[in-house]
Amino acid sequence: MAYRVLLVDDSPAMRAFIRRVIVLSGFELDACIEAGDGAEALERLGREKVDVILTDINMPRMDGEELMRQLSQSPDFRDIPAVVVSTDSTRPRILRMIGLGAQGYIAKPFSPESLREALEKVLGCGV
Amino acid sequence: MSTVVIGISDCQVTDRPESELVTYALGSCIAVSVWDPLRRIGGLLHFMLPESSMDSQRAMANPWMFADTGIDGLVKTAAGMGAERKRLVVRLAGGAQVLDPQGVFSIGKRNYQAARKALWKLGIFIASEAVGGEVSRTVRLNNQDGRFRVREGNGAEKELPLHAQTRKEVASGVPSFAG
Amino acid sequence: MSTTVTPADLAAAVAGAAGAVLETMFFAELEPCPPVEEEERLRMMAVRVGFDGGLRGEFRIGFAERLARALTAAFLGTDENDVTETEVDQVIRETANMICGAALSRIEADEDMRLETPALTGASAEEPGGFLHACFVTPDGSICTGVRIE
Repeated sequence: MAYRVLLVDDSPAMRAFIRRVIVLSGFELDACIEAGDGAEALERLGREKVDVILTDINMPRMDGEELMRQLSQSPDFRDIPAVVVSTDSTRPRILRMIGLGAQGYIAKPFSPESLREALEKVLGCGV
Repeated sequence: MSTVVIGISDCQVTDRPESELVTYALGSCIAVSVWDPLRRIGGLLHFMLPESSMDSQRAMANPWMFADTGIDGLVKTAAGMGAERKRLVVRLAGGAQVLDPQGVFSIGKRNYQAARKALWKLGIFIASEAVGGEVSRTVRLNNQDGRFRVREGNGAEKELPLHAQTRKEVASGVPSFAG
Repeated sequence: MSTTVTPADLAAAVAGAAGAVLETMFFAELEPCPPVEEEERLRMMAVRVGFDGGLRGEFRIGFAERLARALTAAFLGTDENDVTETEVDQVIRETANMICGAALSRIEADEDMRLETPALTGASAEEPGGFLHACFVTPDGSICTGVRIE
């Protein structure tokens, strides 16, 4: 299966790092769509098919938690697997993100190998 | 099985299935092994220092001495013999905190980070590793089956897997990762 | 706001986080060093990250220019000669973001945390009082962390 991945992070550098791991990991990639915040992510989702979402939390305009909230309330988007990739690994936040449907939580910093393993777990789980 | 011994600041790559590549006495040095399972091409590098910029002249004379030039050369040599970079299984051993001949303690850690940096630059992931600690290590790579065995000190040999262990340890529920 | 975390606790958490971040994603080793000379500190590329939640305050992370380029090349997997100014700016902002977020996550794991978008800031001399600093050296130059709790 060729995946369409949506990367949501306000750091272009971090998006480049994650994109590189995805490509090098050998996943069959149909598209790697990027968004700088939750609002842009919703806009892209409205226009393009997405198979998995990787999202940061602290972002301008709309943060990752609000994005997850809106996704969970949308019949079109609530079933898209979403993984959080964030420097915030405080317990209340993790619990809230899981409660909103996050299927994985990757704390920054992470090694390339750790990210690849995490992606394999999510992409191997029924996507 | 024909054994090829790799010394300090040295590297060998083979496409002979009966070959076993061995290197001894890894203290702060790091052994980097690569193996293409399809073409049965295996290589073993034993490098001593992290960055060739520390001594460019020595690096020109012997690229295997440094992580950056050594790993680059190892991968290129393997590719030149027909290995595919994407297929390479890479495993590391060494990088112990021992007092090296220069009297520097932390060179083992620096060597390890330099190896990780060089591999990331080449776009290659590390499958498994046995690094750090304070023990000397001996390693051998069997080019027939890709088994990479590490002996730490006088202990028993252990095998480093071809794939990251966590792939086989998928827990149910929401996975949480750090680092 | 937490009453049990002192500025010294947070400064120590920042130091630990800086080591973890630079090792894990930038393949760099940090060694603690004495505070850098004012002249060197003024030449650093500085990033400011405000935070609130359980704690409120700001971080300032300063990077020696050579270190900033080296970190950028390491992070992106490229040569130092090929990195652009834009990439360096983006990478040091994200580095500061990770150091600050990791520090707060360690020290206030049970509290909410909100980080502002990291911003490049002017010369470090402009920083208000009350900052606790820690400096570290790498083979490519120094990094200085500062934190102030309100």
